[in-house]
Amino acid sequence: MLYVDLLAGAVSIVALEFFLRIAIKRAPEESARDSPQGFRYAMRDLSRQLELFTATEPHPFLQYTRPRTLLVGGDQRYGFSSIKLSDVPKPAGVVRIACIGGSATEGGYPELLEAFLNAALPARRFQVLDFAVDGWASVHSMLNFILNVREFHPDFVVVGDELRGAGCSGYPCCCRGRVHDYTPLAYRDNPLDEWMLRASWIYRACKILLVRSRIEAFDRDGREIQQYRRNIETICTLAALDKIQVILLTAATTNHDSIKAVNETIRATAKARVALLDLEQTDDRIAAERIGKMIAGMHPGARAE
Amino acid sequence: MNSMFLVALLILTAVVSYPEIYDLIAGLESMLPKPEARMRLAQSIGALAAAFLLWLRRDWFLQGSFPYRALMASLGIVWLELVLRLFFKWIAPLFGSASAIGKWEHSLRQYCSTMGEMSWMDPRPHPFLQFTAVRWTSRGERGLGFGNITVSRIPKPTGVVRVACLGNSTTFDNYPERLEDFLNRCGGGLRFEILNFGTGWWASVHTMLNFVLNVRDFHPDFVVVHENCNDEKFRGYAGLRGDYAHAIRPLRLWRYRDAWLYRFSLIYRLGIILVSKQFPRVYYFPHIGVAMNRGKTPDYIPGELQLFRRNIATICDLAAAEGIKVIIPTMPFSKLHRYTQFDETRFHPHLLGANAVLRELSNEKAVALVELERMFMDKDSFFRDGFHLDEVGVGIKALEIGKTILCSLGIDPVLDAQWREVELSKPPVDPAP
Repeated sequence: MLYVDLLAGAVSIVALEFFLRIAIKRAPEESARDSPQGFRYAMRDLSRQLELFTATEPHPFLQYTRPRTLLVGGDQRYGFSSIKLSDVPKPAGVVRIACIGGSATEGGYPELLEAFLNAALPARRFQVLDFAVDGWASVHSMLNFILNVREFHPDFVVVGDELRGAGCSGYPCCCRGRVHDYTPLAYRDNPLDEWMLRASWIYRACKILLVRSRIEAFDRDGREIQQYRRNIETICTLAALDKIQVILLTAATTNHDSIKAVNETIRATAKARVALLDLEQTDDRIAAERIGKMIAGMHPGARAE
Repeated sequence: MNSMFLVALLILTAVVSYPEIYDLIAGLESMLPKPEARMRLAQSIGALAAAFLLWLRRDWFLQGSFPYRALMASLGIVWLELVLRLFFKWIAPLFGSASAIGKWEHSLRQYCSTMGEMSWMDPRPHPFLQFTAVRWTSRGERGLGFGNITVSRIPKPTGVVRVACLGNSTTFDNYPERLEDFLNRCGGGLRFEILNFGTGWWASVHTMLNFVLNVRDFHPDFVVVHENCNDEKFRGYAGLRGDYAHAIRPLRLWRYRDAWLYRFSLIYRLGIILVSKQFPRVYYFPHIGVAMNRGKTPDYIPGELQLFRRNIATICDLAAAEGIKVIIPTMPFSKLHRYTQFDETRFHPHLLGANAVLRELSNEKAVALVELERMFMDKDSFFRDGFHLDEVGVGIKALEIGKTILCSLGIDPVLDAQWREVELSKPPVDPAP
């Protein structure tokens, strides 16, 4: 009888684990995003953090990037989806576009943008470099622009930072050094129970329910938006000096107050000095086409064709 | 041994083991008290409890019994520890720092921290600046990692001219404090506030990013950018990248399981030194540096100086956009004091090359230059080491930078007696080549 009870218990746990995974996986994306203090949001967020640990490498000045693996022949992955160290020198006759941002940019529209531009204007060669990293906020993008992007001498930089700039706010202090929000990424600081967090969603759920204080609602006071604005303005200032044309994108998701505020900030910044593309409620393909058309209109060489 | 004497000895042990008393008479640990304070309190309470027990039950502690032997052994260790500490705290310094005993004392003090040779700086990892000093929090106040610079100091008081000093150990060396003194004494009645953002080991990339992230928040009227020497550390690495990830890695603090023991026990610390013969908690490698990759070669390329140029130019550009005036001193250095056998072939050419970049940028960006390299060239008596000035040199540096700030404000400095003396100690400037 004891064996039967044990077996029934084990099957129950496996079944609960299975159903919990299905329930969380199939939960509507928007509803999870709408309630940052909600349980489903916390479960997804924890999954994302665990993924970040495995797919990223700590960086001394950018917190983390994608792995910067050494390649044969002295080349190196630069820490972004498909950029290598050997890509730094700009090939002659190429129009180079750097896309910076977070999850909404990485692996999304940049590839489609390159395909669109090269198809639409076959006489010119367009190269689109995807400098975005999932989880990055405007502070990462700004520092990455200062340290890396400028070294690639792009003709255009498309800034698609929207969500995290506001999403990471709500911490006390609010200094621009951003240490109130972010800690250095260090593998040694991985939780001891990482294997358990990965293996069992029941364990993950218990941990979230027990450590409820970590997922309280954000308490924003507007200063975070000021910081966001300053990060974008810094990119615009330096880009102007390097004769790089800037295109600011608004966020495609607008059913969140803080994102609406960010979009307003982007519009206000763009009004003063750079091009703006309102991307509200569009998908990657439409975004790529609209950005492509804008670039085609802005680039003197492209216009001539 | 007479039990009354033993009780008295235990009570004395309890008194001297009280953490604050112990620290006063035998403390050899730098920084804030850590677990050793609690352990010392436990030692004090333990001694008191043993004295009480001995007083009540003398028959438990008959000579030759196990409790008696255990008590005597414990007391022996506690007093051996205390005597050693008293020796190294009060007597060893009398032998001088160059003597063997002086060196032991220095090592023992370093060994009290996991940061070892870097304990004077006590760096903390930072997500975007690699590291800063301790970013403390106390009574609702928050330090930004630069001494007494706090978040609450961000709003600029009215009527104050604010000067931010940026750089590495050559800024951390107290010249900003001397500069504040000079400006407030000789600045024609204006009120000046100096913020010292200097952090030991930082290079131009750290300083530039700190300007972008923190310094601009303080809305300084002037920013003094004193960089050059530490950029040499990042030269000679393969795979040059704009973000320096080819040479620099994130700083990680390693947690040593015996940290509590080596802060608590000097005997244990001596044991580590004797067994390992070198500092076992290594953060600083003389040929690598703090939190840097391996693989440095003697092959320096001009592209590395381009990054130095980019960093300083970025500060100048962003400062100009915000109406902040930039002052760039060149880096003085001594050819007599040496760090390595390669100083003549690598370090000095780097310093000269980077100073030349600063002069070019001064012309290009129309920012003020303070020519310290030429002023101190071949004046080795003003240096503590390869590029750190001594107290007189630091005073002269503060004076020269201060005069440039006042000149920029259209103020003719009126030197008081103290600063006239500094002016007189200035070496004659060699004419520009």
